[in-house]
Amino acid sequence: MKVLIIDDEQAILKMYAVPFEAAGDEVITAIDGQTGLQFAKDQAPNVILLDIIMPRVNGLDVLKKLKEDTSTQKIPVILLTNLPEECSEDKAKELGAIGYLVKAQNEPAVVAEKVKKLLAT
Amino acid sequence: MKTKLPPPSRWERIIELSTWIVVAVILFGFRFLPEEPIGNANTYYLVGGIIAFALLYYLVIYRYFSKTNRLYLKSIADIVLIGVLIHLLKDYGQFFYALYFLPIAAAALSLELINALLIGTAASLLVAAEIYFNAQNILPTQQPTYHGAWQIAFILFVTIFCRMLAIELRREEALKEEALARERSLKEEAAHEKEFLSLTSHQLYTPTSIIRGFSSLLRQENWGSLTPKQRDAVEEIYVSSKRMADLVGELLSISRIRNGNFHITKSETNLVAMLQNIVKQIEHIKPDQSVSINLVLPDKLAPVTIDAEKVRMVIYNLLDNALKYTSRGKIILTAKQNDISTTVEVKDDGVGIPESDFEKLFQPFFRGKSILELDNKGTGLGLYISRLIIEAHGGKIWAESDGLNKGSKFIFELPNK
Repeated sequence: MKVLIIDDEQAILKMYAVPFEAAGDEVITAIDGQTGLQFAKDQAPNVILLDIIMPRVNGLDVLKKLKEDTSTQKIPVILLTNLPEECSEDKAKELGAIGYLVKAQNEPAVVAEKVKKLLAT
Repeated sequence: MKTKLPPPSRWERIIELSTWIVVAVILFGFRFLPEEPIGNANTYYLVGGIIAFALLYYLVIYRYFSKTNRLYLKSIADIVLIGVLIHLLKDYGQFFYALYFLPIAAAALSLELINALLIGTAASLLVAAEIYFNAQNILPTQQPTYHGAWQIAFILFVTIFCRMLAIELRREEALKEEALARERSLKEEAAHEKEFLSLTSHQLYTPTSIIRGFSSLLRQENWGSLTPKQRDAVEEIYVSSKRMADLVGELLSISRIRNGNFHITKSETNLVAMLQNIVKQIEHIKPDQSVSINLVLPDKLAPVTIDAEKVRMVIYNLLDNALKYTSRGKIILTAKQNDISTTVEVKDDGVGIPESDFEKLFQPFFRGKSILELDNKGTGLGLYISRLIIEAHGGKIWAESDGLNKGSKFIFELPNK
């Protein structure tokens, strides 16, 4: 499986890549929204983990563009954020994401586990 | 609650004093001119004019002109007004009555009720006294010198009275302004506090997630095995970071509630399944076997319309608390229902609660102890958030206990719909 993680924090990218790589998945990381959009088009990942608060292009804009572009609109997106009040299960679905996870409450191993569960349903 | 007005400057005092001298001189001069422009009736017109002017000064000049301009305007107006009035009053005085009415009425409206009443009473007493003295022929009318002195004294008295009235009006205005300013600054402060809380929490959340995430990875020995000492250290970091993440999460919940970004989304919920699920989940994390958790349910528990996610948080929180404060014994989770409401109760055999703490339990950061004795079992926000959630549903939450070491009960009641 190919996982794309988009987050403006290097440490977060490194951290959430670990359990996926340990399970033999390929992880691509993008440090901002623009790069993330490019990678989503070029590399065709199986799932995208997307942060919301990012400079220049924020996560919600990235999500919108992903859903507008025919080449990326089928890729499942999971919001991985620390902004619980901006997001909820319903809001995430409304925007076209298949789920949302709060970083501070979900350790890397838990995120990997939940991502796989979400993809399976 | 007297508000002090700023003390007058040296110039203000000099000008005030000169005004009084000028007023006295003009009155005295006019009174004893051969044409006698101040007759008995004209005295009253003049007095009315002074009252009206004092009020106009407060209502217009004081409000709309700067301090320096006010000073000049007032001094000039004081002199001109008295001169012009005396001159005009010779023949047309009575028409000015109509004009006096407007500023006096306006002032009465902007005065506080008690002051308006006092002034009204004082004015009525003056009129009554005048009628009485006239009827008794006590008022001097025959001898011009006495008569003139009486008129001057009367006018000066009314002038002083009006000046005091103007000062009182200014004081009231200052009080109102002060109260308004205080209210504004309180509002701003509250808004800043909210923003501060939500910003700091967010800023804290990212590093906390990173510490929690990496320590969990180390702990799971993702990068090679750890020595027992390393494992201990990593475990400490991990547990602390988890606690910190919980605390920041709860602070964020509170700031969200206070900012009004907290919404209850109700849907029909099967309470039985929910309670069973929570118990299963909490059994999983229960530290030891000396405490048992029992779920006692009635034969029938109809679905309730609640925000399942949030009520679940409340029940989980209450059970978690019960576990924290019970070292051995039973924790019993029960639910009851009538036609209108559903009651959920968590009863434990733990340390109990002194009665004096019942009220404070549901306030933020209350942990049943003084800050010096705080343990590290929780964040001190759980019961507060629970209260906010239950109250948002239109329900109530409370605690019961027979005292220390006699266990405690936490109960909440929610409307079924």
